[in-house]
Amino acid sequence: MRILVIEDDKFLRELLIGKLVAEGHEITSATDGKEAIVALENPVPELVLLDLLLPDLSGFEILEKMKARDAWKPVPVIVLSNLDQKEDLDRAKKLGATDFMIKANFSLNEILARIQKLAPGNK
Amino acid sequence: MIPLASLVNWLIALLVGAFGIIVYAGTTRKSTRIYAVVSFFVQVWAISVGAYFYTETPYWLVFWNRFNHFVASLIAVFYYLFSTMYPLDRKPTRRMVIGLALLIILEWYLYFYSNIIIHDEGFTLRASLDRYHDLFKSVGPLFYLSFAALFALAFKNFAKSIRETEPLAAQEARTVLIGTIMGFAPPVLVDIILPKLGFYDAYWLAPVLALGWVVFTLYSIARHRILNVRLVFAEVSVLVMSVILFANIFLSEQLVFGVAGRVVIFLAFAVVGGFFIRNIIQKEEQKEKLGILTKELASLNSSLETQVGERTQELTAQRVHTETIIENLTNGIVEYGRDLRIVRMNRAAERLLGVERTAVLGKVILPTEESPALSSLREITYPRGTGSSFGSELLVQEVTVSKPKEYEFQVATAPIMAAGFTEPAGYIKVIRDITREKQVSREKSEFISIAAHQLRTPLSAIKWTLEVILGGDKGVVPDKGHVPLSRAHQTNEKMIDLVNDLLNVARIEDGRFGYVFGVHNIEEIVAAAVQDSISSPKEQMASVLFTRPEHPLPQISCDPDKLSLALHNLIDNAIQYTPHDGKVEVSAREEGENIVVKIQDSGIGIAEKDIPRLFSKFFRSEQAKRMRGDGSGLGLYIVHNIIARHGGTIDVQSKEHVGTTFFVRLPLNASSIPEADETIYY
Repeated sequence: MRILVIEDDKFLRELLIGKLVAEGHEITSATDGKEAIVALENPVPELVLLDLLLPDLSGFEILEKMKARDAWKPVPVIVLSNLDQKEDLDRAKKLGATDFMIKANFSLNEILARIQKLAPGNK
Repeated sequence: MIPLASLVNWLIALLVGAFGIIVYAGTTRKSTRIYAVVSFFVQVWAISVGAYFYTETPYWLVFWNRFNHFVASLIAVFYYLFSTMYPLDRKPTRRMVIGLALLIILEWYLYFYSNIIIHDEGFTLRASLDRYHDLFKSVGPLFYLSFAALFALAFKNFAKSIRETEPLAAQEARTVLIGTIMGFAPPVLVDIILPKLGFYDAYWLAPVLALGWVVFTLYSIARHRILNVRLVFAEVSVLVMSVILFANIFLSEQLVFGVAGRVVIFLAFAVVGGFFIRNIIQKEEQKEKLGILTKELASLNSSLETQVGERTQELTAQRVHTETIIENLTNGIVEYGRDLRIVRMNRAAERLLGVERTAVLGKVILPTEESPALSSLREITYPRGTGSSFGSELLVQEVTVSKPKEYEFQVATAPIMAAGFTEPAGYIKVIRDITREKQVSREKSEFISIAAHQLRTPLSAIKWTLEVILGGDKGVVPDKGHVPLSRAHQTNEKMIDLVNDLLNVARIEDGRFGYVFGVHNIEEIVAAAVQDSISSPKEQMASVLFTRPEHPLPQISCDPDKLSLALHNLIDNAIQYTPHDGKVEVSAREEGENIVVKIQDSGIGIAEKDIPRLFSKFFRSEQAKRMRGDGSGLGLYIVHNIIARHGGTIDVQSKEHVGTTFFVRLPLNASSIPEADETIYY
C-alpha cells in the first residue's frame, strides 16, 4: 500500500516508517504541511497517517485541503496524534478522517492492524 | 317716693338677672355657668346700690355700703374662678377653692365686724374694737387690694388662654376679656377713681355702666353662638306661659268649668311644652353628637393623612434604596415591559452594551434592528440561534457581542410574575460579563491538551521503540536483556496510564469529559472490557472469568468509551490486587430497573475503615500500597464519576484477605440519566 506518513517528530516518524516498510508498504513522508501538500500531489497515496500538530499547517487544514480536492477526497486518513480532546476528535471526524488514534495508547502492531483493515482487499 | 338712682339701679338689676338666667339656661358648660353666677352677683350688687340710695337712716346707709363692697368682692372672686376654668372647662383645684372660700370668710368678717369704716371719701380706722357698737364698720385696703389682685390674675389667665388654646377658643376668650374690661372699667372709674378726686355725683351710675358688659357679652354670645338661643327662648317662654296659666287657675271666677278648664289647659300646656323642650334638647344632643362625630372623623382623617404621608415617605425611601442597588450593580440590568418596551437600564448595562439609556428607554428593539449602535442590545434581547428568550421561566443563555468591544455575556432572562397572574408583567435581563472566565477556561483547557500532548509524545516514542526491540525487529534480544526491557515497557505503560488518568480527572472536573451518549449493548461493552484487561500483558495473572447472562440484556443509553474505561479500571484493579492463583469473576444481569455488573475477586480485600474513602481522589488503601506501590489513586475516582454521570451507582463489599466485590448498577430508563453538562449560573 502506498502510505503517506505526515509526522514532524523525527524519532516517531522513523519508528513508524521502519515498521511499515518491514510490513511491505510503500512509504512517502512529510515533516510539515508544505511537504505534505507536495507529497500528496504525485503519486496520490492510498492512505495517509496524519499528525495534528505540525510546524506550519495544522493537520485539520491538511484534511480540509484534501477533502476540497476530488483526487484526494477518497483517500482514507488515519489521524495519529497525542491530542485527545473531544473537540479535536469531533473536528477530525467532521472533516472526514477515517480513524483517530492516540499514539501513546496504541502499539505499533495495533496501528498496523488498523491500517491492514483499510487495505484495498479488506474494504 | 322712690329716688331715680334706686329706680334705675333696680331696673338694671332686673335686666342683669334676666341675662344671668339666659346664660345659665343656655349652656351645659361649667365655666359659663360660673359666668352666670358672676352676673347674679352683679344683679345683687345693682339691687344693693339701689337700696343704698333709697334708704335714709344712717344705720342702713352703713349696712348697704358695706354690703355693696362685700358683693363687689364676691364678683371679683367668682370672676377669678371663672377665668381659671374658661374656656376649656378646667376643674378648679381644691387648694384654690379653699383659698377663695377663706378669702370670702375673711372679707365677710372684716366688712361686717371690724372697726374700719368705709365711707364715701374712702375709709377710716377707728380705735375702738367694740364690735356690737360698731357693728357695720369694716374694710380697709383689703377690699381694693383683693379686688385689684383677683382681676389682675383673671386677666393674666385670659391672656394665657388666648395665647395657648386653639384659635376658636382663643377668639371666645378674647371676646370675654374685652367684655369684662368694658364692663368693669367704667364702674371702677365712677365708684373708686372719681370719688378719690372729690367727685361723687356719678356714684349711682356704676351699675348702669356695668350694663355695657351685659350687652357686649350677649352680643358675643349671639355672634359666636356660644349659647343655644333656641333652647333658651323655648325654656323661657314655656316657663313664663306656665306661670301665667298657673296663676290664671286661681283667678277663675267659675269654680267647676273655669278652674277645671284652666287646670286642663295648664297641664296640657305644661306637658306639650315639656315635650317641646325635650324635643329641642334631643335635637341639640343629636347635633352635638354629630359635631363630635364630625370632629372625630376629621381627626381620623388627619391621622390617616399622616399615616399615608409616612407610608409614602417610607416607600420613597425604599425605592431610592432599591434603585441605588440596581444602579450600582456590576452586572448589567435591562428591564422590559409586557410589550418588550425597555423600561429600565442600569449603568453597567449602558457600559456593557455601549448604549445610553436615554436613547433606548421606552423603545421596542426588534430582531431586525439594523442600527450598529444597538446591535449588542439586539443580541441580548434576541440571542442568536436560541429562539425567544422571553418565556415563563428563568432562562440562562450565553451571548457574544462585538460592540462596544468583544464581550461574552451570560444573560439570565427572568419573567416578572406578579402574584395571581399567569402572564409575565415584564422581563428582567441580568447581563454578566464572562469574557474573562471564558478566556481562562479556554486557556486552561488548551494547557491541559498541550501538556498531555507533550507528555505523551516521548512516552509514545519509548513505547514504540521498546515494542520494536522486544518484537525482534532489530534482531533477537538476548534473554538477559528481555526481562529488563519488558519491565521498562510496563513502567512506560503505567506512565501513559497515569497521564491518561490525570487528564481524565482534569477534564471531569472541568466539565469537559466529552460524553457521547447512545443506545448500546451493555453485554458487549462488558465483554470487550474483560477482553481488554486479559490481553494487556501482565506477569503471573489470576484467572478471569466472564459469565454471560442467560437471557440477552436490553440495550441501555450510555457512552460506550467512558463505560469501557470504568469497567476496564475495575477489572484491572481486581486482577492487580488478586494473587496469581486467585480468580476474578465478572457477570452482568438485569435486576429490576437496573443492569447490575458484578466484579468479584478473591484478592487482598479492603479494610472496612477504608471503604468510605475508596472513591476519593488520590486515595489508596494500606493493603493496596503494600501490594503495589505505583498506583495513582485516581482510577476509582474516575470510575465513580463515570457511573454517576450515567445515573448509576457503585457499591462495594469486601473482606480483608478474602476478596472484594463491586456492584455497578446502571439504569435501564434513560430518563434517570442526569441532564448533559448544565450551564452553570454564576
